Amino acid sequence: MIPTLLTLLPAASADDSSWITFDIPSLMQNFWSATFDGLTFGSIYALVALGYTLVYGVLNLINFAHSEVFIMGCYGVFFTLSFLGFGPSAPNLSVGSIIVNLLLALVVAICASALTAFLLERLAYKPLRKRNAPRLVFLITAIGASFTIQYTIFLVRGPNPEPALTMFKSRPIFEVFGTFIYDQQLIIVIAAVIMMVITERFISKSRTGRGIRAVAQDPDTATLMGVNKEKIIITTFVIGGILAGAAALFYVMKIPSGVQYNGGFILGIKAFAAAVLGGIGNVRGALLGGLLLGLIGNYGQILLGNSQWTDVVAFVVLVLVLLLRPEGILGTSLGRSKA
Amino acid sequence: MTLLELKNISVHYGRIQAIKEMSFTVEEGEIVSLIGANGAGKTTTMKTISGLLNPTGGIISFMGEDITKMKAHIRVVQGISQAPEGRGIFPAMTVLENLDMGTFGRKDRTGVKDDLERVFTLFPRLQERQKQYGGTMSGGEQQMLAIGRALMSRPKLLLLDEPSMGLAPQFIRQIFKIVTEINTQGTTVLLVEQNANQALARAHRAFVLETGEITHSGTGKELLANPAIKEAYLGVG
Repeated sequence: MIPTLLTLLPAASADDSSWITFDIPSLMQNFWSATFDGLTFGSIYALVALGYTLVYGVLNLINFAHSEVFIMGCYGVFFTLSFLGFGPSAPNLSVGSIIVNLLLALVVAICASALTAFLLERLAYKPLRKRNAPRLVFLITAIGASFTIQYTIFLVRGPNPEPALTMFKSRPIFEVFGTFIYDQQLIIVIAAVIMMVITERFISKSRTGRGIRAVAQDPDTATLMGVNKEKIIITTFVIGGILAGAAALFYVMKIPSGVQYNGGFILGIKAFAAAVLGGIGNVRGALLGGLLLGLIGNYGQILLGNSQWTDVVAFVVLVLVLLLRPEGILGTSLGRSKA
Repeated sequence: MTLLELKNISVHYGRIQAIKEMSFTVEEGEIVSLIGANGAGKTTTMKTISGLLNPTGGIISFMGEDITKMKAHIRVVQGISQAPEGRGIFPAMTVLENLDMGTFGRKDRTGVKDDLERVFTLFPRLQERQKQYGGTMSGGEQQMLAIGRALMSRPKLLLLDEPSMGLAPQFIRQIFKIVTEINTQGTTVLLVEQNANQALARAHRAFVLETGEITHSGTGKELLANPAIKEAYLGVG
């Protein structure tokens, strides 16, 4: 048993007295590449975090099955790519056909995730609301729904990850601070930011958005204003699904080998942590939390010299932030009624 | 014309019966007050009329139409608007956004501007504080906002649930004065109050509610003069 245990620890060289070492020169050297990659992952976290935060806003529920809404999007991407005949190595395609393929995969992923979110709310949560179930029951149902979807996928696709399908070979396009920025990073960050801005505008400006905010702050009063609460709730789930579907495409672009029945779990937890870090229920908080979590994880990984540390560092920072600011960095401003 | 009619309405919370076979009407143009102590069923009655609670028996009709099964958010469009107990201000929305929420169910966007003018004329304070967040306002200001917001749906029937609750005396007088003004402008008002003195003085007709049942009814003046009510609700006798 002892050798097994030891291998779990990060490889410490013989002259190291402690088993944690801080590799500051390496962080300095790789700072910008860690930053760009951290922002790329961070924008994926942020898109998924929005789904947690929006549903928490209107239902006061941590929708643990949101990670499965995300993974269904990943399967949407995977099946689209295998249908289009992609393999492990990237084919030589023109920019135009790459864009067409990406958009096709995006549409399928969004449909898959949004449909999953829709069915989840209709089949799992709505019946509970009709019976006035206590909040704990919603939470347990969320966990149950998460496992149900995971093991349904397991039953159909088996335990192994799907083969990695590569859409295109990521190429460096320009150099900033002596570090290359890759086209893939740029596509992901720009597309994610556009989606986040649209979501933020939609929530703050549109009629449905006002309804979502009203239900989040005071569901009964919202109803008295003529807001159809049920319609707002299902819309919120679908918006969360759309964003998770987009995140799924970006995630599969970044990690083609991650499509697996339980592949949404870790990412889901991180996105949830991002939502809490920024202030759950707060749309801008989800964006900030996602980006921060992406950056912190990447810096920590380089500083500590092992990719196993990414999640540890991210969660240690989360705990520290919450100790000082239990409401998250931006607080729950979209938030609950104080009454 | 009878605007609102409750016929043998019963409401239960689980096995506990909060309202027992209650019947009353509100005629067009009236101010009707429901007074009663804590737990008498006043707020339950209001929530049943606005549709947040479903009665376990009886019929509610509005303008001659049975609305017992109608969803709450549709009732607003039909012309029933409520300033809820505790005011229900959206804390993270500005005064203007809160007022705008009152128009959520409206199809005619054209009249909204006029109604906003009207609310600002009734409550100049709201115009001054348009950009302030609802959660940061004083209790009296929030109550003005709740009433103003309820008016933004241009209701036929305005339900006011304890508008004087937690307010300083000068605010209470002001709020009741404005309630009368809203009524003379043509909106029917159903008012629920613990502050019986003002509520009875302002009402055309009134009912006394005790543990889910109406025990007294009459014009506001009659009930104000009734010795039993004086003793129980007016703090004199």
